[in-house]
Amino acid sequence: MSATNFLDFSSLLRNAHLTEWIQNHKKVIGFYCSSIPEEIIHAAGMLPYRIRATNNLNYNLADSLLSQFNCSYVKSTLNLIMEDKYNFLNGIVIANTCDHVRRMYDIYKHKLNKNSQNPIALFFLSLPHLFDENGWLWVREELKLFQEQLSRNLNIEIDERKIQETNHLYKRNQELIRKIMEFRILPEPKLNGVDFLKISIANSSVRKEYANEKLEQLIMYYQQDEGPKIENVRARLMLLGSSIDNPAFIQILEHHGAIVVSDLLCTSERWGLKDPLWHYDNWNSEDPYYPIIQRIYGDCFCPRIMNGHSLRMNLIKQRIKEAKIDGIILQRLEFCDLHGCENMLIQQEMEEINGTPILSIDREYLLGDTGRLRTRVEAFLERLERS
Amino acid sequence: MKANVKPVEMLYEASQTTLGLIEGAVPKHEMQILKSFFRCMESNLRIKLEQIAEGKPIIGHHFAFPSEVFSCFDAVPICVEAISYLFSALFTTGSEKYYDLANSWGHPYHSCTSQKGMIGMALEHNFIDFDVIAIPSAPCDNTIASYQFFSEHLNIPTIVADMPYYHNSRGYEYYSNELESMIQELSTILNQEPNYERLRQSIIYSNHAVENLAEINNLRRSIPCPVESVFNPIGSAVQNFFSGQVEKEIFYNEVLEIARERVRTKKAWRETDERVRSFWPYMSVFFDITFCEWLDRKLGMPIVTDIFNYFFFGPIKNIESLDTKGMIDGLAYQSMEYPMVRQSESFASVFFEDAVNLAHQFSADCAIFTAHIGCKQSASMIQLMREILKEEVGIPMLTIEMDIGDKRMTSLETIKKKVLEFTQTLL
Amino acid sequence: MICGIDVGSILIKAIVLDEKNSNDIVLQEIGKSIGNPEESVTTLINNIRKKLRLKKRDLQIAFTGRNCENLTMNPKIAELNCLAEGIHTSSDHNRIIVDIGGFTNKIIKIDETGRIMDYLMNNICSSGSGVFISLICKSLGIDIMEIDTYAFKSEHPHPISSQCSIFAETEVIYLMNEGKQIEDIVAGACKSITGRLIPLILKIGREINQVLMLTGGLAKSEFIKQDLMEQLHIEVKNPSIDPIFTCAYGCARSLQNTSKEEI
Ligand code: SF4
Ligand code: SF4
Repeated sequence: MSATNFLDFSSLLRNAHLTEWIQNHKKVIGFYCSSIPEEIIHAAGMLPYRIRATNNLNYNLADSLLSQFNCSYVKSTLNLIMEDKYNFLNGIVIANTCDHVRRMYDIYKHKLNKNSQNPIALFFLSLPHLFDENGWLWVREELKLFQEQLSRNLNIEIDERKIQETNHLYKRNQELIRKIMEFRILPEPKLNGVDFLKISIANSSVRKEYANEKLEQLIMYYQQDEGPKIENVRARLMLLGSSIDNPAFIQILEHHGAIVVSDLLCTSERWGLKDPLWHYDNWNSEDPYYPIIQRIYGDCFCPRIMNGHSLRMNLIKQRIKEAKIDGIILQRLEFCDLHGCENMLIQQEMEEINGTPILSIDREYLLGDTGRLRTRVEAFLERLERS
Repeated sequence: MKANVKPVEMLYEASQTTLGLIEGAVPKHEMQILKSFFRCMESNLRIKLEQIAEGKPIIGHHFAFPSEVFSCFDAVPICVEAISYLFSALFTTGSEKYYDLANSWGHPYHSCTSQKGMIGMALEHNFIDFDVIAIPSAPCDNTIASYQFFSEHLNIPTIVADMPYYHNSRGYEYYSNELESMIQELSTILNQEPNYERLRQSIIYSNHAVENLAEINNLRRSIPCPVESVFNPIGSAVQNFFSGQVEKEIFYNEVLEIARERVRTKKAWRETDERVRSFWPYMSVFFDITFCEWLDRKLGMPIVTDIFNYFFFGPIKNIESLDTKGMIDGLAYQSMEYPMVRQSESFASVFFEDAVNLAHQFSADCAIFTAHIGCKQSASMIQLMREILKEEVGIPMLTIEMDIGDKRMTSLETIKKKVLEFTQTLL
Repeated sequence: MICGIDVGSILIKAIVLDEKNSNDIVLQEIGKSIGNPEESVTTLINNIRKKLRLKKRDLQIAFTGRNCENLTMNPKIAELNCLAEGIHTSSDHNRIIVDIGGFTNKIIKIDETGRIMDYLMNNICSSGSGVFISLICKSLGIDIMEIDTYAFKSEHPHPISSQCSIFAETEVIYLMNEGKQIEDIVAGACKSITGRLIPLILKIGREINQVLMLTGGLAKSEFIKQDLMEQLHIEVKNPSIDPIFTCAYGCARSLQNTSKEEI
């Protein structure tokens, strides 16, 4: 198997690794957001799987439960769930990350599980909307409670040693992703935005020991002298906003010769961020939960954190410099209020400082009329070239 | 320099005019509740404006916040959402101009108009000079996202009390601590020591309001319902605008007297018979309160209750002797169980159970759900609610997609058409 | 004789029944509702009278439909009740009615007595209803009556993703420019109609053995019917009367039931 085969894992819900895992009667736990402590799921000997909407074709089933004001990404995942495409899940973990996602818990509880012959285990985490000491301590407790529930519900022992081991594995995984992010921002990038998203998606659908092996192979592949490189990049773009799990969307942005060299999306680059976004100093770093709290909470780049906007802005600005960004694509899925309002602020602040040019896009999860989008991107690239 | 409070002044004038109009033109025994509301509104706004003129600081707050807390300080609390929606209810073109401004500035068209109005006012420099803003991190993404405009773009010091998702002792305790630190932060920003005796007085007002509302709701269970439907939208305004203030107590007192009288004398207060008792599991229409008159008089379809006008908690006990911690604990508990917060910032089971209980208790014949474009947290619950009300109470539910603060999305005419169509299938 | 007139958003449908002769359908007439419906309705009534040689008092009329509220003529009967009555009196009981109208789709569940148990309509926008497909046909330059002919030829129906009719129209133009086959676009458009109906039908819920009765302008499309059957695994039928006249028929029958009193 060549190193790049790993990328293909993003185009299927059931990848080869997952299939084998299930065949060995091992458990899979689904989750929605980056703020879920997958480490604990992993330490419990299960496969944490980030739910996505890959290959969804319509909303026929999901629309029978949701309203026209729901985010079409969550709607698409529900459609797949209702089509039974996620029947490999033994449980699901949801948090109060956004209004659309958190209600999936209720939909499972009041509908999907009720109608199913194999109801799955449901877990919930309440996460703070502020960076502060109280929040940190609360998350610490939530992790403990989650671990207990997971053990009780699925009858699995999770000890501290396992958590520590998992932390090492996850740390390594983040380092590897970070390394690949470096290849992205080279003057002649080794990979484009489409491929990076594919890697990120694949990485969130397998156990991390497997992922690390694959990522190492990929790094070797990109590192070779005769390895791939992208020449004559027309513009270096940064992509921000609502969740994206569909490489085809980035493909449209890159269609005219631009490359998305950085994205800061929750489904992608946020996994490999270098410095902590926010940090609670008075905590014992020997605590096995420490790196987990830092990852899911301290590094939560999401606009759901109400006092985190300036920290997020700083990171964006820093990344613009590092990745030598020419233009920003700000996109919002319809009905995503969190990113919608955040995009508004980013755009205004960028304009105020006469910063990087921005193209704002509102979109639906299902890519319909890509022609119009392509035309807008082309016009934006021309604008970048003129400036 | 005098603080800018143009929107409050405009509302004050509008309340005066409206009160003058209805007191002059409407016979004494009609629209009593509306009159009472405008009397309270007029006096509340007058006092607020006087206090602001004296130089007292202004605290902007969110509707789901226990504004009793602000009485610790010599300051003037003003609810952000209430301003947006009072504009939309009292002026012909409502808050539309402000909505459009906010939208053109990049505020998503689907983000809630309850904050959009104020965002637009700020962009037009027709704003309120808040010294500080105090909000919870609940009950929806709009609250979380839109308030970052005030803190980040306008740089208004904004204090957030983080509300956990769990309505259990751990959650209440956490929130109580959040409120406590908020009081400390307010104290620093306003440069005032908190006065907890004033807090006690404010809770006493609220306690009376809680008791009176419970009594009003008892009476509303009678058939025919002795309270006009307009009580619902204005009741929401009362809670958000007068919370912890004497006007809230006065208003509920007056409504209670009116309702008692109607039940006692069994006197019809409207010429139309009560034909269908409608229960609104969510909100009612805010942009046009004449809609409620239409429901009562034209359709004979009173709103018997909605979640905004029912308290799922009692008064804070032993208030005379409670210590500070006890008072704050009480407020933390109450505000997590506030109408809308309780159902929105928590698991949906609570929402469903409340709806089923209310529909039963108020002998509802049907339910009408206002699917407000802002409220994504309820968007996924509507169909489940429909099914549950059908299965457990046996009543049908009509859903109307709208913007409760902007008539341009679904006009009053369309709303009426849908409601009428619905009643035709019921009778 | 009794006459039911359904003043829809696009078409006016009238049906005349001979109540003395087991309610036989004597006449069906169609007019356009655009412009001034009052005028169009009057013309239609005059035509009917002329054709049947009826004096004013020999023809009792009732009105219904989305566009009837502004008529000065009376009596008016609620549209949903007419649809329910139309199906109840023309077919077996225990049905779910799926009515694809000009601007609105309606799903109505009725009991054995014809009473409405539950109903749903599409909201705000007209996507997935009659005008949606007619706008698409217009951009494709084909007649709306030909949709089946095209759709059945399609091997790879191309989904129309736009939720809004207006955007769908431009999307179709793009698709044509991209060289997509007309039959694939038509089949895709039909599928977006069923895609809009299915969630509504699922929301209403159905018991086993229930049959979907398809009424309204697009009810005659075999492609739509088959697609619904395939996706929902349920029997889909047209009523015994012409499906586009169901509401008018129900209106006439309701008029008969409620005597002449204004409703
Ligand atoms: S895109 Fe926005 S609304 Fe959708 S799941 Fe992500 S945060 Fe929630
Ligand atoms: S109306 Fe809904 S969306 Fe708007 S602030 Fe209230 S809960 Fe949030």
